[in-house]
Amino acid sequence: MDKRRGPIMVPRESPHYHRMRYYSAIRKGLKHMSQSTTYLDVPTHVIDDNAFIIFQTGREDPHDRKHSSLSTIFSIWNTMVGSGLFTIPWAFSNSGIVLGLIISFITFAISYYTCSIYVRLARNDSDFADTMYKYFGKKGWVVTMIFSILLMFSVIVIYYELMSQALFPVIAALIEWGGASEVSLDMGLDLSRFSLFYTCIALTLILYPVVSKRDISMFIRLNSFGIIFVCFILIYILAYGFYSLSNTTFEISNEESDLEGTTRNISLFRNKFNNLAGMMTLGYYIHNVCISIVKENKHPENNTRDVFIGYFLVFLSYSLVGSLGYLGFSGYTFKANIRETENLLYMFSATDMLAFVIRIICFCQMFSVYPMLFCVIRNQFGTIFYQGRELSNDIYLAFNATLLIVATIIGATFPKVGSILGYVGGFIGLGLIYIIPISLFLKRYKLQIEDPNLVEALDNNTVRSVKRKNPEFSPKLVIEESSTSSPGKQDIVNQTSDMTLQESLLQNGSYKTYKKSFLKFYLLCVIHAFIVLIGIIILALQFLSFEEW
Amino acid sequence: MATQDSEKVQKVLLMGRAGSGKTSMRSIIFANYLARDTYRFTFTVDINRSRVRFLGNLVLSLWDCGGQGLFMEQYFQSQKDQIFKNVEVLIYVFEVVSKEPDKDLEYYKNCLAALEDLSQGAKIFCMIHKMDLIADSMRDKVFEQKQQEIIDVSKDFDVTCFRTSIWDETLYKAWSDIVNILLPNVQDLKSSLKDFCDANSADDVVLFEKYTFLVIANHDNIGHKDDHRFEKISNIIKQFKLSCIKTNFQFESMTFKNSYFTAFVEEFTSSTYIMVISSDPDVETEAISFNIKASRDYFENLVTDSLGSS
Repeated sequence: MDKRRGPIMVPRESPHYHRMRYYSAIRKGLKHMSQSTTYLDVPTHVIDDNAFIIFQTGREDPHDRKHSSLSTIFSIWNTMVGSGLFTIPWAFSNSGIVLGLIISFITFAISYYTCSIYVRLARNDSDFADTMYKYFGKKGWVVTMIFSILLMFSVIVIYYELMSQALFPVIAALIEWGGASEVSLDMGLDLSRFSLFYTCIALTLILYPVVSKRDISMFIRLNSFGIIFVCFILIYILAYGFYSLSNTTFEISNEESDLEGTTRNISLFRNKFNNLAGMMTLGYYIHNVCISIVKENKHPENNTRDVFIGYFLVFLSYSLVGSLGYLGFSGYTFKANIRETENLLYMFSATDMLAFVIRIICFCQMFSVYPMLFCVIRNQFGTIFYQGRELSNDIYLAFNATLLIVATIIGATFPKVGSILGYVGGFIGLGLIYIIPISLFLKRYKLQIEDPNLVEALDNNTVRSVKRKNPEFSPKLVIEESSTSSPGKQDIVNQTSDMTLQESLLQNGSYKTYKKSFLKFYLLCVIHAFIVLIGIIILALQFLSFEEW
Repeated sequence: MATQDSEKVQKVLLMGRAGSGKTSMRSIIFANYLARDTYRFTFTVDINRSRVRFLGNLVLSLWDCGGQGLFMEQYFQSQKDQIFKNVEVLIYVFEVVSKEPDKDLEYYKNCLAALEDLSQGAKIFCMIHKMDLIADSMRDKVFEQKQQEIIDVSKDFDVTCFRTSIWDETLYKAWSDIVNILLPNVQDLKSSLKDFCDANSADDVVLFEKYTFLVIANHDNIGHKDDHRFEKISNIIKQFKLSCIKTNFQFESMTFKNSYFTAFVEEFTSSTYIMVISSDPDVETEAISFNIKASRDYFENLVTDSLGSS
């Protein structure tokens, strides 16, 4: 018999309890008189849901996995690279090309490293927050969920800004072609004439019914076209880069370019690299999504390799777009200073045909993704505040409306996408990319030294938590008997040991190797502290700026 | 002899189509083993086993309407007098997920026609049963729809409809409401119970119907939060009654004592049980027992009066 399941008991206070007992007494009595007893049998729709076993999606059969390595790599690349490409050349212009490449590389390396921690440690968990719950309990789960929901909210705001800033020139162009005078593309808050503000209002009115639609299958299908859009954008930016290389003379200098002349200055190192650092942190973030992508991999042993290749491709993309984009859009054909325009597309007038088309493409790409962002943030909200129950209709609509209104306000009053990306990347990146995975890694490492059985059980999800008699202590973790490799071994492990550590070590191995492992652990702590330090510096930089060196 | 019986006895008819849930309803409400509907091949033989008493001198008998083959229909027609004379109450059970709702209403109309001829003053209660098979969000709508259909068909009769299911508290509530309607002088009972309660310095006094443990009246001096408590007590006692039947003993009374309270459940009048709960440690429990015996006659008259005037 499966020892893990006990009988489902109706609580005594519930009126069901006595009713069911009474009915079963009637049934028993009838049996006694040898009469039919199929009536008064409890029908399934009356039974408590807890009596049914729920299929756990985190424990799928590995043979169900479908995707090849190539598909996995492609998904990883597609998820990270998007319309944000338009802000990278601006960031590179502020940091200088060489410094930009260096920063890009550093953030790539660190992000990949922490992402691989996620992939290795999460195993069959469906969500990273569950892994955190396993190792850090409720607090870990809460912190992860808060960061995730903040991140999703920031992405919603950023996408909103990008959409409104793509839509604004498109409408302006249509107005101009309709015969009106030229509409200024100034992004300041101006209520007197058609401006970004009115675009935002229009956009919100369009978006509200779209994101409130419950059936998102249409958008999922649309989203698969998104990759074509992204390719267009990439080609466009790179092409411009090559074009400018051919017709402009570039000089290496940190001075502002003389916009009237034909030569342009290109910096290699500048001191305003804070934006790039923050932006890159966010640019390499797919940590929580990565788990679901990688789960479908046909050969899970290749997971870390595939993630690496995916990340590397993204690094290449960002580097190319950054450097060539910077070169391209500093070309002498432009009269605007790239250092000031955070969104590349604003280098063009509203009526430029090519830009017009590209703007529409950008808008479509983001529009197809937008409802799904809302879907994710609603799920997160539901999981945190409503224990995963479905949101009632009122809350559902109110939630969507609130998010859109906040996004509109920010989009209209602070349309600086690059800066927002920097701040968000710095702060949330610090949490989700630096601190959380590293603390998870270190905790597991330490636990591996102290209690390898527990770690193995946690990996395989064969632990349960058992409430202690004294409610002040955190729940005990109990490894289920079927999972321990040595039969008959009673492995009840506490997070705060009853047995001293020395005693348990004497059972498991020598004290010397234990000490050596611990030394290694401390060393790892120090190394990883450096990584976290980098994260903190990046965050700090968003708010400071150095003087010119 | 059969005609004599039907002249004296006051009846409650529990009717409905086969499979509508009458039998389970009866077993549950009356704590009474009856797996099959009664087919009256000979009237006298079945009299004692199939009839259950209700509210003193009312007798409840259960009848299938319609279907079951030609023999049953003819018998029903020929025995119409026997069945429909002296009927106080008709409880008609409709199955909400019925496959032949039109036929259901037709049989119902036939019953009403028979009553119109033979027992004009009868009270009619309709149970719209098996509501658990309807999704939660649809229940109100479906109930109102069916209720309207029934009222339209019932013409001049005064009909009260209930929605019931044996899998929640609605069944017990519906029958309790029926008891309350059949005892219009419940207020008198209540005030007498209050006096009784105060006289005994008791916390709680409840008057239950004898056979079903449905609540006739109650008075409590402390507020209660649990609305389901009467159903729970009823189920517990009925379950105990069933165990008593197995041993061929009849349940008569129960005294329950612990450090928090003392509870008496005793036969009271000919159609009621009384439950008295006292938590005051200074009160002598024997005194309460004595008081119960002493008030029997008074309440017997009170209950009979209220039944008589209905």
